[in-house]
Amino acid sequence: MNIWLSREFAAPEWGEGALLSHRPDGMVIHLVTASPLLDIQQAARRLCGQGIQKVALCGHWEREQQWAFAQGLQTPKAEVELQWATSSEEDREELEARWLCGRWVREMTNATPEQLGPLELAVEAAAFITELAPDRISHRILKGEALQQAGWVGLYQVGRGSDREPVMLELDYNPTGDRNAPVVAALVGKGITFDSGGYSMKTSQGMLTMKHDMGGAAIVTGALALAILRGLDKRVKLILCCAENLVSGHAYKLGDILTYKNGTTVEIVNTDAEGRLVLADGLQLAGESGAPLIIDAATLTGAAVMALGGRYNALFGLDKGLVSRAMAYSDAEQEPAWPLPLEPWHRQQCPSHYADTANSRPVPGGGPGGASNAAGFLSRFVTNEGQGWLHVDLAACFSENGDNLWAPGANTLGMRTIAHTLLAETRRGA
Amino acid sequence: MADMMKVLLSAQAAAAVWGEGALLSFSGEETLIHLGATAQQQDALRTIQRAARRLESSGIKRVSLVGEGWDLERRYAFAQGFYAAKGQRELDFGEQSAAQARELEALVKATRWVREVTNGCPEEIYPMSLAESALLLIRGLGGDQVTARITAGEALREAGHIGIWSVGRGSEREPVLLELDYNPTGDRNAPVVAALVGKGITFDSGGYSMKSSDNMLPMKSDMGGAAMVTGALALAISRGLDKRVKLILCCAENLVSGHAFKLGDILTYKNGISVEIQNTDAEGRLVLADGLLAASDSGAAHILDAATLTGAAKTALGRDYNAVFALDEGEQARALAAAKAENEKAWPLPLEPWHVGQLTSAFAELGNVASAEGTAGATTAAAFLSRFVRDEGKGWVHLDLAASYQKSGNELWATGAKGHGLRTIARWLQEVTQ
Repeated sequence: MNIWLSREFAAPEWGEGALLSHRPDGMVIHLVTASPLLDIQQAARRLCGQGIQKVALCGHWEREQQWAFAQGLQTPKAEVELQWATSSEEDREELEARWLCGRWVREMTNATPEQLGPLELAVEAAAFITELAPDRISHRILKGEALQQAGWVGLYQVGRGSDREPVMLELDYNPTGDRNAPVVAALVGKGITFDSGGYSMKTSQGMLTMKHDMGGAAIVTGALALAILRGLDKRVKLILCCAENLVSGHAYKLGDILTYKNGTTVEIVNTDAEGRLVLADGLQLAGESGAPLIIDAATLTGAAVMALGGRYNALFGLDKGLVSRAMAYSDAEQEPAWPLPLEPWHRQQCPSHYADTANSRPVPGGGPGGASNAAGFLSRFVTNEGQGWLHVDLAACFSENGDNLWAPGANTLGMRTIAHTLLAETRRGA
Repeated sequence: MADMMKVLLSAQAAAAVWGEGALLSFSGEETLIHLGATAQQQDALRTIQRAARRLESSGIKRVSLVGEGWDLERRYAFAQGFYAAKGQRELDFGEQSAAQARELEALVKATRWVREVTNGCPEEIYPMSLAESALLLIRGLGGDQVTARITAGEALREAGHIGIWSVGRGSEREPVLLELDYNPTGDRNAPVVAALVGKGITFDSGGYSMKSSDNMLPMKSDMGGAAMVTGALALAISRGLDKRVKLILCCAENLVSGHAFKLGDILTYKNGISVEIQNTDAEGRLVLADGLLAASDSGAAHILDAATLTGAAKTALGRDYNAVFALDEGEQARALAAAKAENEKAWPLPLEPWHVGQLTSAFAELGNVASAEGTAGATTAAAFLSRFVRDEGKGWVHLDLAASYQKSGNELWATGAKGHGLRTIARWLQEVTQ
């Protein structure tokens, strides 16, 4: 199917202000409102919904217009075919990079929990990045009891209820040729391949979409891949914290107390606030690498979705300059994001009578301000009092039922922002 | 006593600057607790415990009790309030007679053990570790007058302890029955005068009848009954117990797994009674049934069981009173009198022989819960237990420990275990063995 763009109104028989009209050799999208990119994505969504899955973009298309179309033309049930419009070499390369990385993020996130366990996620991520830059990548996988022995107590505890072992992936992208080159950034992703909630069990409805609770791991991996394709030339670490949060005769329990590597003791008051427990390990490992920039991404809280709806990712940081620059990067990449509050006192917001802190507040959803309190918890595990640290709560990365813009399942929102942040911040420092 | 806050009792009201009717006033390194001029002993104890709680929660961690008016009960009341699960505190009780110091030390030691083992996280306190630490405590006091048998895992099933085995089978950590024999008589054939039976569910998820997260959070405390009877025996030994007593702890983790017990399962107990599992979260009575059968087998003339058994008891009495049930009115009265003599709170709730008829099942002799409208949950739990004691309940008393654990701290108690009930049990033990 050939698709053209037009600034003209459709002929009246298509209805007043029609978005789409037909012509003998294809379809026309009529850009007549104030938000043409949304119109294009919506039109693509509609075409996709009609079963059209092989498309060629014809005539003049801007780069972002093409990407908006590609975002809408998605379905988790089939692989769509899209032929880009004639454009510059640079545009073509960028679009193909986005397509490659975005497709990987979607496939991983939409994969069934049986297909994608913690080890599979780590192995897939390492393979995907390695394929892009075979000579510049090394990685290490730590799993099961070895995690406990290494002191990664959060990851071990969250994952111990499953027959499939929890896994930490530590991947080193070093394009400098110097083994001792400084690590300029670390990405940390939450990779809960299925989240039942554990003994604080979710309802069946709340659990249905929980194959996507590794969305943070997928997004940071996709972001690193995109940054590499865009020419990243500094040393960066990728850390994925992968586990299944299940119920069993060996699962972790409410009232348990975890002692982290940095000495912090944490009382488990809700086994469904597990993402922050695994990220705490990842953030500490990131800190050990000496990276001055640390970005973590996670489908962390329902509170972020309640606050922002499903179309914005939430940004948090104690480093206000970094948060405001990240906001600008997300604007530049056409990805909606919004800052939410985080102050040093947020780390006191989950008090415990038995340990230094609890892992949440013991009320459904963590109570008011739950996304900020989760970020406050994470801030206990970063270096430099949070300078150079950005936390992304991915409220917008998955849609249960789909809507007029997005297919059901995973999208890639956050990937471009993180890739952009990685490139801009590491160049800024240089 | 450098750096210690001195705490004094005062019958005077506080100076107006501290507010009207102020509980506390301060000058330098001294704190005054204002008891009020007409304070009755009961009121004074409450006031002192409240003051201690307030001092502790304000961050004062080192205290020395000085001046007039302190006696054994007042010092213990202060110690009860001057506690928290987390952090270190130091408490100097001041000048006492040797006898009083000995009794206070025994009280404080037993109480602290109960609080610590109950507050311990479920990863550390599991069925075998609970049984072992109870054994260690009693051995430390009774030495070679103590023998014990531990039955665990599949051996429970082979021995017919079907309740403990079934409840605990869902966990990877095996269930345990501890049968401890304290025999100070020197006569191996001395009669067992009393048996204590404790519920030791080291974590209660509810099993397949799963609890909500909010209700599950404090469930490390569901071994509070086992801790309480153990602490009580420790106190009684310290006070000079000289008769043969059995301590029976029924320990298990109630978890969900591919091997857990299920709704609709039917358990057949050693005494032939069959029980249909209608709710896997009514598991305490299932393990206690084994313990009560073992207690009855021992020939003990008096049997007391203690358990954090029902939410219904807390609904009825709050977290302030432990509930006392018996078919033997004399035994119930003895337990209530013991509570009163020890300044602990206990209250009787109904139990009659006909209550057991409310535990109906279409598939077995008994259901493990009463589901009909208008049945009383704490009472029907007690009625269930009554099927597993001998002589129609003669000499048996059941404590539902509603007041043993504070989910959220209040003006008297820090969050967590209180040890409230162990003195009642120790005194009951002294009464029946005299």
